[in-house]
Amino acid sequence: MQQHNIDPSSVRGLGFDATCSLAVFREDTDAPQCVTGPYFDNQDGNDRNVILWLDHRPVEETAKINATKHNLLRYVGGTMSIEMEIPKVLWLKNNMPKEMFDKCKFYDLADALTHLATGRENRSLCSVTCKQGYVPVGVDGSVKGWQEDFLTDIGLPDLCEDNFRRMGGVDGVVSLFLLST
Amino acid sequence: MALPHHHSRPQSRAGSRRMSVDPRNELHHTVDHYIGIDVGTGSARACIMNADGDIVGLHSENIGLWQPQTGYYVCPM
Repeated sequence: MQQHNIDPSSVRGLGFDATCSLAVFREDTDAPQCVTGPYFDNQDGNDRNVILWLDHRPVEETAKINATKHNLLRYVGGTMSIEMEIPKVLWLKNNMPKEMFDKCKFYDLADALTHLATGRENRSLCSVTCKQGYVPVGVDGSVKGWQEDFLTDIGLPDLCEDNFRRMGGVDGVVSLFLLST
Repeated sequence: MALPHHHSRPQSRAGSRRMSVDPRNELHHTVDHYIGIDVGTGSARACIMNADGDIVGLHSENIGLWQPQTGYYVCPM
């Protein structure tokens, strides 16, 4: 804007697009949460708060997810890819100290950018459906979108607490989903 | 950066101000603008458009990628 002398007040809209990467923040402080062990504290300078799509650490977690043969897998291509985000959340659950994992909230990278730009907790329907195993309300009897039986089965019942607050919530209850194309 | 963002402007408005080769000296505040930001793996690109869809500004920044272990890829935000 500065370079081209554009008045910031003339900007009517801001749109984000990003890779299928998992961004992690702390719920209490909204600070970025490091995602690599053993200390998850950026001690070595190589730890950051976004696990990129090409990060293939959650091999076992992905196998466990696909072994459920849950109906939601039909909507992500038959099996969930290791490059999607729920395997990465599960890896964090399995590798982080519990008290640290319990403080984390999760965003698709594009939604994390919206969060940083607005301070709000909105998620995009496209992000959660295509990258996080959400089944849109009304599809195949989905009531809340997030699939509680699936999350409990794979070992992430924590995410169901308080209407799935740490994943952005339930549309119309905690957070508001915005349609994204 | 010289971008073709004047062609769709009404002549009267274009003629009412002093033309300049330096885009920083041009005023765009009477026009609505929209910003799109694409965060890829190696870089992030931002683009400012006016209401006609003409690009009036572009910028790209590389993204620092860390590999804390083999097969692990992380970045900051």
